[in-house]
Amino acid sequence: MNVFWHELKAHRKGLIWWSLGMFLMVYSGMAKYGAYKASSVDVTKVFGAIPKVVKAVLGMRDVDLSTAIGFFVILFIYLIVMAAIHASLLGAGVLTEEELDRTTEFLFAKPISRVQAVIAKTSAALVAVTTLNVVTTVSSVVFVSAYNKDAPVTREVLILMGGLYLAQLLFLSAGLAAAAIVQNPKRAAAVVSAYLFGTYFISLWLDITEKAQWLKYLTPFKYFDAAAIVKASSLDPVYIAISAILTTVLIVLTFVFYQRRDLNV
Amino acid sequence: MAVIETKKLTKYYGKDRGIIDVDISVDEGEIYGFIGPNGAGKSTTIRILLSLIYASSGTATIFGKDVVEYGPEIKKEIGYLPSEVFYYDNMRVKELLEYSASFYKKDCSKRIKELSEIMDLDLGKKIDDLSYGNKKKVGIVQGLIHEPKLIILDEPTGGLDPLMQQKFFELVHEENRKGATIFLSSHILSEVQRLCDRVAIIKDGKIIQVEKMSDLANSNYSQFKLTTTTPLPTGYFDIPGISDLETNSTHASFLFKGNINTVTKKLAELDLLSLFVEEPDLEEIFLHYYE
Repeated sequence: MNVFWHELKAHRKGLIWWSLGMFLMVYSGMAKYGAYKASSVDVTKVFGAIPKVVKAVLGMRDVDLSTAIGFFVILFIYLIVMAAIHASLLGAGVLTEEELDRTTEFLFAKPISRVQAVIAKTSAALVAVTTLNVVTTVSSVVFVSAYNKDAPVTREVLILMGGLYLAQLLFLSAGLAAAAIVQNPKRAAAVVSAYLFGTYFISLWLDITEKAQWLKYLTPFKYFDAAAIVKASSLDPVYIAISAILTTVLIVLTFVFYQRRDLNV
Repeated sequence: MAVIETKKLTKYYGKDRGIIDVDISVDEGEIYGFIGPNGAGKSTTIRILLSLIYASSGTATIFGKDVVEYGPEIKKEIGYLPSEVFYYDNMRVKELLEYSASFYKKDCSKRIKELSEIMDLDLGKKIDDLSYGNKKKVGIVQGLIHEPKLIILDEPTGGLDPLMQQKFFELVHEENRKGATIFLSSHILSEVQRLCDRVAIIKDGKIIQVEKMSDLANSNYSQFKLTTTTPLPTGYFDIPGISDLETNSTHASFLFKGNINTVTKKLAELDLLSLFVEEPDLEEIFLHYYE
């Protein structure tokens, strides 16, 4: 438990900033929607004129931007990217920080096994990721309903936040696995970032093109495609299953590899 | 029972040599020196003992238990001072020591106070603000707070001023008197000479000699320096036991290990102008090993 508390404390400040960032993102995003609505500009018409590619890049595909939930769908793309960055860097960070700060000899000369260390660090990261999700969820529910003039959409927002959480868990475990597998601790963050942005650009590309649609099974950003989730009013069980399996596999790899590899002292 | 025992312990970093076939056996209650130049494999050996890294082949046991399989259990009774000390930023000395103590299931608060008084350590200071020497002191205290049965010291005195070194050695002796086994790695001879009962010499990853300190320091080696009236015949001192031989017409100097009578017989046949037989310092002996 001591390592768990130590980690929580060490990452407290970062978490506060990230939470503040998510809060501001939701707030300013929905405030912008409020401004559009108030200005009596035909939002749908304005956005309708935007070329498909630009729309894809901005994440505005098949959504009705005149509704609060439609607007939130676009905002969600940014929320999920931010949360994914947070989770993946945190995952890579908790497992490599001892090596990067050269405290490996301090920690692992103590009576603690590698498995115990991974459990403590992963749990602390899980708390951080969950907190960020709760902050985002509360902000989203509050601000979306504050600007919503149509039928209640809290259910949709909560489903989206469920998807966000699954994405966070997936990227957290990807970060952990990268830190455990990559022998050089300096490269773990780069590896998981490459995965994150690689899959993100694949999902953008899939929005533009009709080709290679099977790739959607490879990018987490497609698993939690906000427009599709809102349209169906539920998460796709296939994607839930894929992300759950992927997360589990990555966690198992983390334990196996972190136990086996030489630590950098 | 041996407290530390390694058998054919070998470590390669990829293709790079770490250590090769290291056999050491440290008995309970002794102060064991591990000496060699930088890069010889001292830290590699220690890191394997602490299972920070894993051996490529061979075995290592501490208290008779495999260091990998029983790592966490063994480490309850190990105190370790790394050669370079690094700690968490933004922690105060007290917090770090308490964090350190929290890994052991015993109350260490009294010990923290006691040790930091001996080492003259300010508990309220931030670790970031400490000098290197003071960080090292934190390392010493955190390595000893749980009264370990085995104390592993890797180049312990770097950064400590002579007064602190003195206090540190007293502390180590005290722990040893109370029954702790000490494993001390160093490239500084005087340090080892002062403390150790036995010493293993490591060079290029291999143990080249294990000796009792008393054997090394006392009887066996003699440093001869002599001058003769007539030039020495070439190869005159070509006898077993002689090393570091330097001859220059009527002068000769060498180290000798073995039965002293073999040398004195040879010397009796010479017409000597001067003769010095001295105890060599360890530096000379080790230089001989390192060659």
